[in-house]
Order: sequence, then C-alpha cells, then structure tokens
Amino acid sequence: MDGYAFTLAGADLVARGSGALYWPAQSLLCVSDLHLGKAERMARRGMGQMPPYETRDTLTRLDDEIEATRATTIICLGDSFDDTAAAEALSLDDKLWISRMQAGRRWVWIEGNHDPGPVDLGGAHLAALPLAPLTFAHEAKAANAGEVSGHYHPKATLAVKGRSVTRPCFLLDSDRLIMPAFGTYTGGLQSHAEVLSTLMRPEALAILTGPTPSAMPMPRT
Amino acid sequence: MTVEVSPNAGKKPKVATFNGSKFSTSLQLSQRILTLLHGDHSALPAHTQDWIALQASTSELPTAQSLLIESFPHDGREHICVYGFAGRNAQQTLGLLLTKRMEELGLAPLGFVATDYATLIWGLDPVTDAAPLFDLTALEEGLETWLAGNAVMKRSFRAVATIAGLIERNSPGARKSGRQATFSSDILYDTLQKYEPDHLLMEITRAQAMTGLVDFARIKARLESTDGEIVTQRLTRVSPFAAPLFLEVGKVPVKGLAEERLLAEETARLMATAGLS
Repeated sequence: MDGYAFTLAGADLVARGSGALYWPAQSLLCVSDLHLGKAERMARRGMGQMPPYETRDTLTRLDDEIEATRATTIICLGDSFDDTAAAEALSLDDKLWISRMQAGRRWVWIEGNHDPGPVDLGGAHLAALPLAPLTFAHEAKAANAGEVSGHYHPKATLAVKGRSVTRPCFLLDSDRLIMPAFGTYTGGLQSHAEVLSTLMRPEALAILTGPTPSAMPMPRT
Repeated sequence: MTVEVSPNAGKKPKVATFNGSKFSTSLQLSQRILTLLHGDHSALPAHTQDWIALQASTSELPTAQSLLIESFPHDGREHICVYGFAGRNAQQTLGLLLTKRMEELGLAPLGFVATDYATLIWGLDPVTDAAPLFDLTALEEGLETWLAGNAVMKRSFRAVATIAGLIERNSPGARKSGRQATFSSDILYDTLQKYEPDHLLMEITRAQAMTGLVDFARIKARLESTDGEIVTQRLTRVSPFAAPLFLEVGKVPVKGLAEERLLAEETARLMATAGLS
C-alpha cells in the first residue's frame, strides 16, 4: 500500500499521498473538505469566477482512491459541499457519479460548518461517527482522544537547498489526526498557525502529501 | 556620505518593478565576443583581463568550434554551465530542453537560469559527461508536455490571469479585500490545462511563454557547427565565467523527481534530529 503507515489509538492507518486516509482493518476510506461546488458558490456570491471544473476533478480523484483501495466504507469528513445551495446546484451528471460511487458501499456524510444540513444525496448524514477506537468528526475538540477530523486544511512548508516546497499535510499526535483538504480548490492553513499549534501536542508530526508521503516534526509557532 | 530617512505616513510606498524584456545578442556579436576572448586582451580593463585569465587557467575559454560545458558542485548542489553563446532566448529554450533530458536520464534537475552566453542548470546529481544530453532528436521529443507542466508557462499564466482579473496581484503591504479568496494560480493553471486547454487565457499564456523561448534554430545551428565536439570540464568549484550566472534573475524551477528526493532526505534528517525516527 502506498502511503505513510501509522497507529492512532491502536488503529493501524495509512495516510495516502492524495490526502485520503485508509483504514485497512475496516476497509474504510476517509476524505475531508471536498468543498464540491466551490467555483459555483464563489460566482454566485460575486467572489470571482474560477474555472468551473473543480467538482469534476475532486470526484475523479475520489473515484481513483476508491478504486485503488477497494474500500467498502467511505467517510466524507464534513465541508463536502461549499454550501447547501452548492450541493443542490451540482449537475445531474455529478449527482449520478456520486450515486455510482455509493452503490454497494456504506457512505457517511459528516456535517461541516459549510454543509450543516442534510443533502438529497444517498448515504447517512451524521454529526460525528464513533467507530471504536476512533471518532470521526469535522472539527477537532481539544478534549477528545482517538479523533480524526478535518476543517483546518493544514499545510506545511519545507525549505531545502534553496527550494521551498509547500504541501497539504496530515497532522498527527497521540490523541488526534487532522486531515488535509481533498478538494481541488481548497487552500490551506500553515501548520504553524496558532490554533493548530495549540491543538497539537509538542511531539506532533506533519505527514506531507504527494507522490511519496513523508513525515517530519510539525512546523509550529 | 550620510543619508537620513524617515517614514512618511502621508504617502503610499511604491515598489519599483521592471516589466520590460531582454533582447538577445545577435549571432554576429556572439561571434565577436568569442573572437575577442581568444585575441588580444590588452585593451580590456585590468579586472576583465584577470577574470578571463583566471577562467583560462582554472577551466578553459569557450570557442566557436566546440561546445564547452562545465560541471561543478556548489552550495550543496551539482551544476552544469553550458556556454552556447546563442542569445538569451535560445539559452532559455536550451535550459528547458536539457532539464527535460536530465529528468529522463534520472539526473534530478532542480532549476535553470539563462543569459546571453550560457545556461546554468542545478540539480542533485553530478554530470560527468554531458555529451549524451545533446542528442537533438531526444531533446526535442515531448517538449510540448514538458513545457506545459513547467514553471515558464505557470509564470506566464500568473501574469495573464492577473490582467484578466482572475487572481489578485500579491503586493507586500496591500490590504486584502477579504471578499476575494486568494487562489494559487498554479492550481488554476493545472485545472484549465486538464479540462479546457484551449481556453483563451491558456492560448495567450502559450503565446506569451513562446516569445521568450523560440530560437531553437540557433541552438540547432550551434550544435551542428560544433560537429558533436562537446567538451565537459569537471571542476571542483564554480568557475569565473559561471559565477555571474548565480546573480542572474529569472531562475526557473523544475518540478520533477528531484523535489521528491529532496523532501524524502530532508524529512528523514529532521526526524532523526528530533529523535522521532
């Protein structure tokens, strides 16, 4: 399996180069912050017109990950849609595509701050999903342990030999995993932002995504 | 002389930028420079004479009949310097072609910069014999795809997308409007390249990038005139003629395997330093 293997609360997990999380024992694939329909929402709100292909691109990459892992449970960890109207405005083709991926699989939409209400797409709609020993929720809570969350879109920069490389990353410590955003147009928050440095333990790791995911001590304030 | 400065709150600071372009030296001028190098230096300023003499003693002087390539380590990276004397555009194109060839041969190039007389390429592995890099057919092959994925195009796209109002120019100290999300122009470029490569912005980007890249004919002529005589000088340090290239603006980063290797090595080193591996 390509990716960076690690253990959280006793569960053996793999951080994949795409930014998806795979849990082989449960045949579970988790992706966070897809922000489908982001270009549509931005245009609707007068925030600028971006090339409207990000939904297609995000779904293509998700489809590839499902194909590669053969996962039977899929968790979308919140902010799957840029807002509720964007979910409704998805093209019929995109909706059918999602249904096709859902067929024969357990599919869970976790609520995020961008998509708090249920959407008229298949799959279960939950605020959080406990799956011992882990809990899947959109936003990390300091008190929780064994928690997998998204929301912050962490990224980290490494400067080496005159080259500075920034990659979306997973943040990992003994209590929690914060996932990078999977959406094509989702930006990132540097891991040294105060909120992330406060949430993560001093020995936390940043697992950089890309062709060969690799871990390093989390850059922090 | 003493210069005293004080902040003026009433005026907005301005950042000076240069948006012009450089012209390539002509073939004739390049020839004259090469002739001058091998002729009488007594009319030149003393420091220039020293500079040329030092080049001749530590490496060698480029000639019109062969193609000189220096290979040397510097600052933790490996470099090659190709003295094509083909003008800036052609040397820039050569940089793109050679890095593509080096990537194919697993030599892990990281970037290049071009001037009127030479192209400097840096990477992770030393090149001890540069001759195999200059296979004309292999150089030209797949140039389109390599070009599409590389920084020359992405840089042009950023300028085009800024003028089109797709993204905002990041200038230091400028107030963020808050409404406009900041977007990576690279992501927008990749998305358009994938789903709408014939978009008007992309057409303009290609045309724009090409103006600085043409002159392949000059490289071809230069390579053919050397009759395959390619001299590789492996040096222990940067040569006098290569040194000015390190100060040149317009460095083009190359995205490829080298970046992955760098990341792997550096993260492993950081983990070991932190006692986590």
